[in-house]
Amino acid sequence: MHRRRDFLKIGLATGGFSLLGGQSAAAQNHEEWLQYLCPPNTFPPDLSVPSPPVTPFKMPLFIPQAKKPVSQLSPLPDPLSHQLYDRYSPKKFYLTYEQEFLWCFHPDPPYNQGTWCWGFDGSSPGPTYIAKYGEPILVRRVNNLPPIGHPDRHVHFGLPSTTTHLHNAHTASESDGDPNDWIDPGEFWDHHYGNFPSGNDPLQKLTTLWYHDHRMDFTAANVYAGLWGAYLLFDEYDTGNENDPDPQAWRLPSGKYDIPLLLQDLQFDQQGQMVFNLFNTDGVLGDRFTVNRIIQPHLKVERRKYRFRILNGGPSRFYQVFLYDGKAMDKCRPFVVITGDGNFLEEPIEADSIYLSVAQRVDVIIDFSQYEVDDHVYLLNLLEQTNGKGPSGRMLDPNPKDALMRFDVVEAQAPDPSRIPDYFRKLQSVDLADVRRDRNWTFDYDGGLWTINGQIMDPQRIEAVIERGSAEIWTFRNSGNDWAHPIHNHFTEFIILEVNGKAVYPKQIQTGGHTLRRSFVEDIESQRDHVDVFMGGPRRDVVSLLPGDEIKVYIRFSDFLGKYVMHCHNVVHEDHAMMIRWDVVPAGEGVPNPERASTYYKENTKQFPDPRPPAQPHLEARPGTSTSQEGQT
Amino acid sequence: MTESCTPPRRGPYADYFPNVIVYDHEHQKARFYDDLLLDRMVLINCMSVQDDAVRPVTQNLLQVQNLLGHRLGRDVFMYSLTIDPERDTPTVLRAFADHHGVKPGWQFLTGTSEVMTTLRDRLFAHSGGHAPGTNPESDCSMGMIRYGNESVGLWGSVATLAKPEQIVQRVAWITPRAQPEGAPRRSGPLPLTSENFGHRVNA
Ligand SMILES: [Cu+2]
Repeated sequence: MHRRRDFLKIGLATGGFSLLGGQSAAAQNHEEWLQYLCPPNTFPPDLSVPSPPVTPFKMPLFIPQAKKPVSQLSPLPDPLSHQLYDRYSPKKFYLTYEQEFLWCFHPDPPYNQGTWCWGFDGSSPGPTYIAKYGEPILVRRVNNLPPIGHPDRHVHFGLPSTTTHLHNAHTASESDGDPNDWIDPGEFWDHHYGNFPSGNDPLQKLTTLWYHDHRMDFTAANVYAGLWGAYLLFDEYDTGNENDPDPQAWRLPSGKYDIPLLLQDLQFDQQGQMVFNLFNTDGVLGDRFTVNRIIQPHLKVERRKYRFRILNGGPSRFYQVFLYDGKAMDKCRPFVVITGDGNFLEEPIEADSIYLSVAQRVDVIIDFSQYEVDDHVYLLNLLEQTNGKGPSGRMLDPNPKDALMRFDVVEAQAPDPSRIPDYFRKLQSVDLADVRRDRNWTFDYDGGLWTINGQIMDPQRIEAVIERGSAEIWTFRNSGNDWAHPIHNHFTEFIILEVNGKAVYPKQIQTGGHTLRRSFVEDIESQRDHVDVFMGGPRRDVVSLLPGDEIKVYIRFSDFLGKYVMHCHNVVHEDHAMMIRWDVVPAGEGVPNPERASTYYKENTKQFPDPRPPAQPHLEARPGTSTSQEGQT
Repeated sequence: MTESCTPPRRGPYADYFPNVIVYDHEHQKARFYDDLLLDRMVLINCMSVQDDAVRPVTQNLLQVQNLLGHRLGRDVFMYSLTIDPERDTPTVLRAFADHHGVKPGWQFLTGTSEVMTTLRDRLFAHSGGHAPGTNPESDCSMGMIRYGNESVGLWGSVATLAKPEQIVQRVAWITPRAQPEGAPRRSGPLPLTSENFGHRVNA
């Protein structure tokens, strides 16, 4: 076992024999001590044994396949199990399997021997869902992972019990992938995605979403294992067709020129298998950077425009990415940013760099016609981060060898028909008259766990009972002075009203150091606004709570009833247990204070579609023939 | 001769845990990794007799003990590691355990202060620089139970003061189970019927 050997080597090298010093009863048995010597103060940190090196940019980028629908599901989905099923009856059905398999992260040894991974349909990231507004779908997810105790189970740190959340989607509670709606091996769950905007307000449409595991206590491990993928939403403007003759179509780069870039940093052992420390509660970092689960890939790009959907897949790292030509940082070309989190900005803007906290996304347009054939362009992360606290505050020196990936420019095969519109869509309205309650959420640390308002996640306690149709103002406050928390809320996006006491106006975006501005320095070559750092637009599903930050947002709760969660998306913090449950209830039935679910739903003869009342805990693994979730809660 | 070459059984975190010698409240000596972790499911917390008066962790764990029923001591074990081995000798821990009605399968563990510090550091310290504190209210080792099944390499954490039912359900999560047979079974969602408070939004 190499890990023990490496550890002992380090232990001996630093000479930490403190255990031998004590005159204890145990120390009398020196043979026993020497055999198991483990000096506490010299135990190496997670990244002290580097992952095996690779030749960068050797392997082409992996692009997940588009998921194909099936003609029907057997057994049929149950319409009575889903809210608003009749109104948004699925037009397409998908069947997908969670599996364990060998994945090739890189052709260099030992990675060429394959790495045991989890994913969907033999793919990690899983297949990309191409969805359209107005076309509801249903996805049946089957857990075919090897059960605990199976002799062929290889990804030991993952819990083979899963629940898939569609991040940022406006989804009914029972299809949201709640942390406690899990499926065990041999079970499936039907997720109904209505693909309609919140409140049917076209201004609240979304574009780049992602699905990922959300299992209580094990989200970080299961996503790290590979249970995630992209979900793209199109509509009559963003049609996914750059040749669309319809005059209202935006004609953004499409098809093979529209590519998700999912970022994840991982650590590997000397056999090329993934390492994940389940005892690390601060945040897990890797020293190998992957894009679509390939270590430092390359991508041949034609001299034309591309749309890239960049997603920070965590688990705990923040990025600030640049487009580096390998020569001079001051010659970095800007990205044309068209979305922030999952939605279109009002207008595209140019940004020299993009800051992404965990789970944040941007769609960017890169026009490679501004480069020459054979040029190399690097997607470079310069944000230093050495532990789970968040970015260190320092920037790394640019070195192309460390780039996340490399673009290799080749001649275009055909004229570029794609366009970048000057205007996308208006920000949704903020109507303060609809605000029913203000709530404050303070993020802190206590007793080894991460807290929100001093509490840790309790799935049976409702921290906020929210009335359907109402709006609320939430203030997120980071009371840690050296911890960063990327806070994510389910169900619906919010509008940022204030950052650290300063009002945010509709067209403003967050730039470096939380400066709020809409820069008026116009790029010489275009009419677009230009910023040095893009940290996200005014409409979000993630706020980056950097140390000491306080951010106030406006949220509207429409359409569905039931339970949802808000949590830190440093998923290691989420698992330990920085998350709250909140419920949407009918208008007039809200209460101001947190309540236990059993009390609230009993004392109010409230109507609630939660099919799973709290049950007695059970100790035995459920028998293989069980057909319901009874007793699992 | 060849038999002695058979390597001892090891779980995925064998290198992470020190296999140090500890003593339980019955004065029994044990190797922490080989004797206490392998081939069993465990719930591990830190405590001290003195701190327990301030943060009554043991009281909550007594309910966990009761909920575990016949599995306690069979395949599930509870370990409470003292962080105050100077005071919490096996004799003191024995009296503490007896006073609370602790059953077989729940062991209070002590050892040299080096050993107990090692265990606490390994189980509860944080890579980002949270040193375990001295105040029982904030000491990270006392807010959290590590639950695990080392033979299969699964470890998680739950708050020591979480509802006992929520602590106990973690044991089911990490319990080995058979390979499922036959067609996949529906786990959810379940029907939203009028019994579910009648709220048929899709009616
Ligand atoms: Cu956090």
